[in-house]
Amino acid sequence: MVDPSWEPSEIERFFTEAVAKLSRRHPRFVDSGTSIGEAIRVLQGEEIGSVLVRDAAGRLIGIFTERDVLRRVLLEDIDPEKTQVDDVMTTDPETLEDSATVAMALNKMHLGHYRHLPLVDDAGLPVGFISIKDLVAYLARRLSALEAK
Amino acid sequence: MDHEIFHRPLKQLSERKPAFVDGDLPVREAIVMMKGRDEPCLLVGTAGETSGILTERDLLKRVATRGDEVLKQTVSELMTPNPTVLSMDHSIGDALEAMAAGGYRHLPITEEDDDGNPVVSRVVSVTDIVDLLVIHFPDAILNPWFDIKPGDNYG
Repeated sequence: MVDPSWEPSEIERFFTEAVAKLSRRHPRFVDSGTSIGEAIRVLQGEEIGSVLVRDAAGRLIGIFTERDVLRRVLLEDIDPEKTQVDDVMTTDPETLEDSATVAMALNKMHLGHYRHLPLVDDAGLPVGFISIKDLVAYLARRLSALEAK
Repeated sequence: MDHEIFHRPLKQLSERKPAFVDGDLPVREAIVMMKGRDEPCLLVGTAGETSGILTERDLLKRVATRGDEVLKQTVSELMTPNPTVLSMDHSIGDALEAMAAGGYRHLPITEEDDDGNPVVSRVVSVTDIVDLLVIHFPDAILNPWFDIKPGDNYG
């Protein structure tokens, strides 16, 4: 039950911003069946921490992050050029609706220990992503503006 | 003022002890440590003289392109040298700002030893800050799917 007298404070208003507004980059996709090596080259070249994996119909089927590189690729007995990213990605990743707020992103990242969340449209198709770095940059900017008042 | 939370010193935030390794350690051994102990990063050098930080990003940038050869290199060849370091007396807001400015997810934190010299004793991570926000603003963050507007009556 929510206290009817509750009103958001100045900081709490930070959290009502639409997450789509502060997602700085378009998502990078690789297709199902892409090699791990190719997916890693996308991560390296784009200075991003995750790539989304989609099937032939454009549906999101996985996410592959730099943490997955450490945990599931490095020193493992696999050849990145001959193994599909599908084998090491996280399948059916948690997503956020593209109308979600910063609060919803923080909530999911906190509960699931995620650092990247794909944004999906009403049809469930991926249209963007938000990273914990995007949220930190946004919060730092808002805090700085508030304290300058 | 509810942004008082961001003025609190970092000593209230982080309890994670850093893992230190020698700069001469082969990259392979560093990866084994990070995987086995679930360390998000390693600090290079000692608490009194920290020369670098080795992160998942550092490994990603180099390892896959250079194949197995890179595993024989030393940590000091791959690390990010001279990382931004804050002290326990810096504020949580300072950490947020430093992470945003540098794109960092981890910051080494110093405190003074018995002789008054700064030594790295903690690591603060971006997830520590997210966790703090969740704890301090539960109405806003833990129940974000309630569309709350002033004046709404939830009886």
